[in-house]
Parts: sequence; structure tokens; C-alpha cells
Amino acid sequence: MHVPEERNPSPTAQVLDETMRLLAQSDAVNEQTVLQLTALAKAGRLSKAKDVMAVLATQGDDDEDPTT
Amino acid sequence: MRILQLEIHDIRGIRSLALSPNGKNLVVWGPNGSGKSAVVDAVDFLLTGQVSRLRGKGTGGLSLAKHGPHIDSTAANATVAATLQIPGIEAPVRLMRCMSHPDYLECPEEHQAAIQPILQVAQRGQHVLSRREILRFITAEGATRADEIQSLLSLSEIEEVRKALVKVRNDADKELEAAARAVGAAKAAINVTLDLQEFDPASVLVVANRERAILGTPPISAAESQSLKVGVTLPKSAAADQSINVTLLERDFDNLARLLAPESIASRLVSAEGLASTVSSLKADPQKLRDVSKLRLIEIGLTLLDESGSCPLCEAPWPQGQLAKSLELRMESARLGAQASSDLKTLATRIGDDIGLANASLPKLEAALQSAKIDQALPELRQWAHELSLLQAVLADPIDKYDPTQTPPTSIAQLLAPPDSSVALQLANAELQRLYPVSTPEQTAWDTLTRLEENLKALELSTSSLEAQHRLGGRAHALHDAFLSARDSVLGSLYDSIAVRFTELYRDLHGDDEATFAADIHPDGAALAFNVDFYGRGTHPPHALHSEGHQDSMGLCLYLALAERLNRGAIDLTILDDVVMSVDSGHRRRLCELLARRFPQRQFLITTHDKTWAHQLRREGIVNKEGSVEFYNWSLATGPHVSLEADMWPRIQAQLGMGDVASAASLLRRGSEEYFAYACDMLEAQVKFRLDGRNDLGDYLPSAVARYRTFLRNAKSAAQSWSHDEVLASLIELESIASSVFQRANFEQWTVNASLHFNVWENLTPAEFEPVAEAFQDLHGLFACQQCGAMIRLAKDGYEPSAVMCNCAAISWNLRAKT
Repeated sequence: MHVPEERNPSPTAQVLDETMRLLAQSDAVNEQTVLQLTALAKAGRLSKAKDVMAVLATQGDDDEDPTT
Repeated sequence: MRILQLEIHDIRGIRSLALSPNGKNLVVWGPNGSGKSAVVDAVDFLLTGQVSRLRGKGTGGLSLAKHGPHIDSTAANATVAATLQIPGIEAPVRLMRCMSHPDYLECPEEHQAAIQPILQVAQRGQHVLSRREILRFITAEGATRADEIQSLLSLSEIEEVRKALVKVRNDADKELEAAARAVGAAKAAINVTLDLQEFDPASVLVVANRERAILGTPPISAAESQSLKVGVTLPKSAAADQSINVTLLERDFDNLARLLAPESIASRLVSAEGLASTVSSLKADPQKLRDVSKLRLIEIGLTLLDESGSCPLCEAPWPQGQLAKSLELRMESARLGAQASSDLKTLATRIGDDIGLANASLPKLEAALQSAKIDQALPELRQWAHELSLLQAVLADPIDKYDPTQTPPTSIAQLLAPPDSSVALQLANAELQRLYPVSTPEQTAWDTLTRLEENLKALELSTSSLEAQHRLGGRAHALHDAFLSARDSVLGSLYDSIAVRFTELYRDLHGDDEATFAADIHPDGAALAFNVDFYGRGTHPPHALHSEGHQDSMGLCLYLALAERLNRGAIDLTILDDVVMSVDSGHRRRLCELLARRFPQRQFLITTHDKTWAHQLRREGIVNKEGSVEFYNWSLATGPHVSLEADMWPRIQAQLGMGDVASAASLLRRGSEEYFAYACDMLEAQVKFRLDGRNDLGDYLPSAVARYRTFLRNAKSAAQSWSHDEVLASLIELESIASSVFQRANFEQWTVNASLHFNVWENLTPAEFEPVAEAFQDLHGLFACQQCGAMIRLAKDGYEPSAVMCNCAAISWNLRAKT
């Protein structure tokens, strides 16, 4: 049987992973939002501005401004 | 994924064809128009449901349904089926697609999931490189090259995400501005309610406590909507149902009168003129705004300029110094644009503040007039309010929405102070004064607090919204910035690794000639910079100084580097469709070595019209006998005739069987001539020089055999010197076999006896020729590895012969004796 070679993660997946890693270090965004954005990225919906805006907007509903 | 078997029926120029590469490399060769590319089309169709060459630029009027099937057939008969080896699946998987239902791929249900990643990669066409595409990576402009390579790398999704995140960031910024305007409007409304010139929380508290004192309630410590009326009760003197307080409304009339005062109108006209002229100047020179967005890029570009004077981003050549001059001009333009943009914002805000003031009073007056059933002034006030709301929308985006030619500055001034409004306001005020008595101080204090409570709620709400928008903006910027940073880092490293692999492959292909070759590939703004070293004389765009052949090989190496990275684990098949046209013979051989050594795990399907290249692939062991397929005598009715190299000896036998010695002899002579010419090349045998280049079998064969004998003798001596007894024994045995074959082939008599020369083969009887053919078949076999099929070749250490070997090292004669 032909042994499959290990697939490279796609550049897009790598960019999105790295984005979320950098974002997790940012004070502006909390962990929950990073998780939601990660889920959005995995579903291929980070290119939908409305969906992204909805996730970013929800953070304000459940926590304080992390920058203050 | 590898192709084990392929069956094509009525696709393009093929009627019926079955190929069995068995997961190994395949070369399909033949003259132009023999149907080779139809094999590529068929594989393309099987994996994607499309035929690439029938789509895209320049294919107007072409369609799969009409031009995909053989011209004399129908879509229902046009099918491609293949047995594939799929990663992770033990048994071969059979797929089939028919042109009558191109979207449906017949695939066993249990393998549907495994096949999906393969089909996704195939959709992007990353497994096929054709001649027309090879140079698109090399000669395209920076921005176009970025598109080409990004498309191959499937980076379009990254660009889609970037666009979405830019939109999110811009929308958040716009909403932040709108929230700030709402806060301003709420403060303006408080100023009107309390008759303040400037909003100041301390002044608001003072006035609020003054009104509370009138109503006999203690002061509060902060002016907040929730606490403003705490402890306050409606005074007995006040009428609970009195909706109109003319004292309070007087402040609204005064507020609007101030807006209608000649000095206000004059000041507003100045702002409107400034707005109109700034918008006009930006619209007249749209480059200014584009330059604003590229200010940083232009600044970086200026720092990257080198002595060549060419563009550091797109690599276009410029006369010395001209690009720097142009960039400086654009930077100046960008700075002017940035200044104009800032001025525009200030002017729009100034006019917007007046709209906020008007909006603070107009709804109150409108409600009062409606309640008092005073109809005279109502239409004017409503029209005024309506036009102000339109103006407000225009001011939110003046560059796109404001047209100074349609609405000159005087019209803007008029929208804020309509000519009839003063009269309408005076009428309304007089009528209200007539109908309603002056309110008591308690009533006014109550009404003021009530209205202030409403104003404070609006301010608190808008302030809260502003803070939320501020946080949202922070998140949107953080996400956008993180994404850009991640993109630059990941793509930078991706391009670095591709550049390293590309350089490695290119050096392999060109050997010592390009031993110091280096390449740099990196994203630069929207473009992709690609520079290569030119013999140590600095880096230049690949198409600047290198020959067409070098560019071809660069395109091929870059494609292989890209495709290897992208297709790994999904499609182990790479299709090279006639891609070595301008690569010379020596480099083609190196390409063979490169494919064998660097890509042992990949299956290559190669098409070529070049017989020599096809034979090189065979001799170098890239393809075996079964994998070398010749297309010839194509006709519309039959499609290509197919000849496998493996057929050569059976064909000779067949011709002998028909008594056609002439054809059999001709076939043996042509085949042997080509074979031993190649053997001489591989073993560096000396061949008599002929100026016309018309060497024949008589020149090649004795030289190749002499060289073979010499190396075999040297290998025996070396084995003896190292006391490698087993090796020595096998070499002695081989020598004995070889001698017998040489004797049977009888070629050594050619020089002494003309009747034994190959020229007279055609005069032999079938019975006489048969042993000759058999001897030559064995003779061919001596020069090739029975395992990998490659022809033996001389390996050297510097100038010294070091070994005779094949690709798989099953044949490996050490030539260096122990010293």
C-alpha cells in the first residue's frame, strides 16, 4: 500500500492559526472571543465581515473593557 | 494519489485508449496533433469535471459539452475511468466520469471522504504544468506574478479574509465616528435645554440643582438621569397634563434663531465653501487619495531604491533617478491628500455640529406645534428637519456623497438656514405665546428636569455606545493587525522555503554552471518580488538577463517547488505537458536526474513532441518500458495509434513473421543507433567526429562496447584490490556473458567483412536475421539495469571515473582500486 506523505497545513490555515495566537496575546480581545473567532475561521467564515463583526461585538456584552 | 490504470473513450482527439502506468511515471510522446494533450485533458476532466483548456481567457465560444467529447461522438459516450492508488486506502479505487454528467464522479461510497481532499487540490489545477503556463511565474509583472503564484498556492482565501477584516475595521471606525457624533448631539441638546453655551458636566449639575432647589429638593452630587429627579415631585401649581412649556420652548426658538443669525450663516458659508473646494480638489485628483492609502508603502519604496533605479516592488525598469523623483512627487501628493482629508473631517464636523444643534430643537418645536394644532409653520420645520438629515448623511461620507456641482456651498448654508424658516419660527412662537400662558417657575423647573432627564439618558446611552464602539474598534484593529502580521510572517517563511527549494532544484539542474545561484522571493505590498542571482553580478528579475531556456527551467523549478509543497499527501501526480521546449539536451538529462533523485515519491505524467527527450526519460530510468508510450498516425476516425517501447522486439518478431526483413532490420538499426548513441553519451565513450553529425551505428556501437569492456575490466581490478571476492566473481560472470553476447552480435566483424555489416541486414532471410535480433536484444540489455530500467552511466569524482551505476544502484561497479 502506498504510504501517504504527511500533508502540509495550508498557508491559509497557518495564517489563521498564527493570527489567533497573536490575538490571544492582545489585551483588546478576551479568550472567549478568540475561541469564537477560531471557530469562525475553522468554518471558513472569517471572510464574512458580518460574522466577524457579530463576534467582536458580543464581547462587550459579557465582560468589561479589558483595556481599562 | 497515483494512477494505476487509465481508460479514455471519445475524449477530444482520442477514440479509445487504455494506459497502465501502474503508479509509475509515464511519458506520452509523438508529433504535434497526435492526441497527447487529450490524455492531460482526460485526467483533468476525471478529477475536476472540467477541461482547463476549454475555460478561461481566450476560450470564448468553447464549451465542455460541445468541444470536450470526440467530434464524431456524444457527451454520453465520452468517459474517463481510472484505477487509482489513494493514500491510506489499501485497495485500488476506481473512479469514472462521463461528459454527459460532468458534475457527477462515480466513486465507491466508502471512499468519498478520502477522495475529497484530492478533488479539492485538483480543482486548483496545481498538479498540471503546461508549456503556456510555465513562464507566467517568471515574466509576469510583480502584481500579476503575485496573483499567479497566490492562485497556485490557494492564497485567495487569505486575501478574502484580509478584505473582510479591513471592512470590519473600517465599519468599526465609522460606527465610532457615528457614536461620537451622537454624543455631540446629546450634549448639544443638553446645552439647548439648559441654555448653556458650552457643555460642561459641572455647569449641568449647577443648573440641575438650581431647578431642583426651585422644586424644594436637595442638591444631587452628579447629573445623572437616574438621580436627577430623585425626591422631586410634581408641584401642585404645575399642571401634569401641560405638554407645552413656552418658557422652555423659548430656548429652542433662541437656539434656532442663533443658527439663522447672519453671522452664523456667514461662518457656515465659509465652512461650506471650504468643504466644496476640498471635495472638488480631491475628486479632481483621485490619485491623491489613493496615495494617502499608500503613503507608508511609498515611503518604504523610497528607502528600497537601489542604484539600478528599477522599481523595488514590481521590478519594472526605470531611467536612472526617475522613479525616486516620481515617488517623491507621489509622497508629496499623499501628504497633501492626507491634509485635505483631515481638513475635510474638520469642516464636516463643524457643519455637523450646527446640524446637531438644530436637531436638538426642531423635534421639540415640531411636537409642540403639532400638539397645539398650529399648522402654519409645521411643513417648513418638517422640511427643514428632513433636509438636515439628508445633509447629515452626506457629511458622514463627503467624498463619495457630496457633489459640489449639484449642491454649491450656498445651498449647504441654506439647508441649515432655510430662507422661510425665520418667518415660520416667528409665527409659531407668536402663536404659542398667544395660546399658552407663561409657565410658573416650578412648572418650568419640572419641565426642564424632565427634558434634561431625557437628554441625560440620551447622553448616557450614546456615551456608553461610544465606549462600546471604542472597544469594538480596538478589537477590530487588533484582529486586523494580528492577521496582517501573521500573514506576513507565514507567507514570508513560506516564500523563503519555496525560494530555498527552488534554488536547490535550479542548481541541480544547471550544475556547476549555476553553483552560486541564489533567489529571493518575498511578498511586497500587493506584489511579489522575485529576484535571482546572475552569475555573481547581483540579483535581477529572472527575465532580465537569463536566456529563454534558463527562464523555462526556472519556471519549471519554481512550479515543482510550489507544487511539491501544496500537493503533498493529496496528489502525488504531477503532469508536465510539453514543458521543456527551450531546455537544451544537456539540461534535459539533468532534469531527468533531478526528477529521479529529488522526487522519487511522485508520479510524473509527461507529454512531449520531442522524441529525444522521451528517449532520455526512458534511458535515464524515469520511465520504464511500459511507461514509454508513443502516439503516431493520428486520424479523426481512429485517434492516435499507440506504440509502447516494450513493443519494439515483438514488432521485429512480427515483421519477421511476415517475412518483412527490411522493416525488421530498419527498426533494429534505427532503435540500436539511438540506443548506443545514448550509451556512448552515458559512458563518455569516444565517437569518431563527423562535421555533418551523421554518425551511424557503426560509430556508436563499437565505442560503447569498448568503453563497457574497459570499465568492466577496471571494476574487476578494483574489486580484486579491495578483496571483494563476491563482487569480483559476479563481474567475471558478467564479463563472460557479455563476451558471448558481443560475439553473437558479431558487430566486431563489421570493419573486416562488409557482408556482415548492418547495412546488409535487410538482405538476410528471416531465419538468418532472427539470431541477429536476439543477440542485439541481449546486447541492449547489457547496458540497462533490469530492476530500474535506467541505462548505466559513468559517475565521476572530479575528472576521475569513480563508478558505473544505474539509478537504483542495483548496478554499481566501483572503478577506484585500493591504493
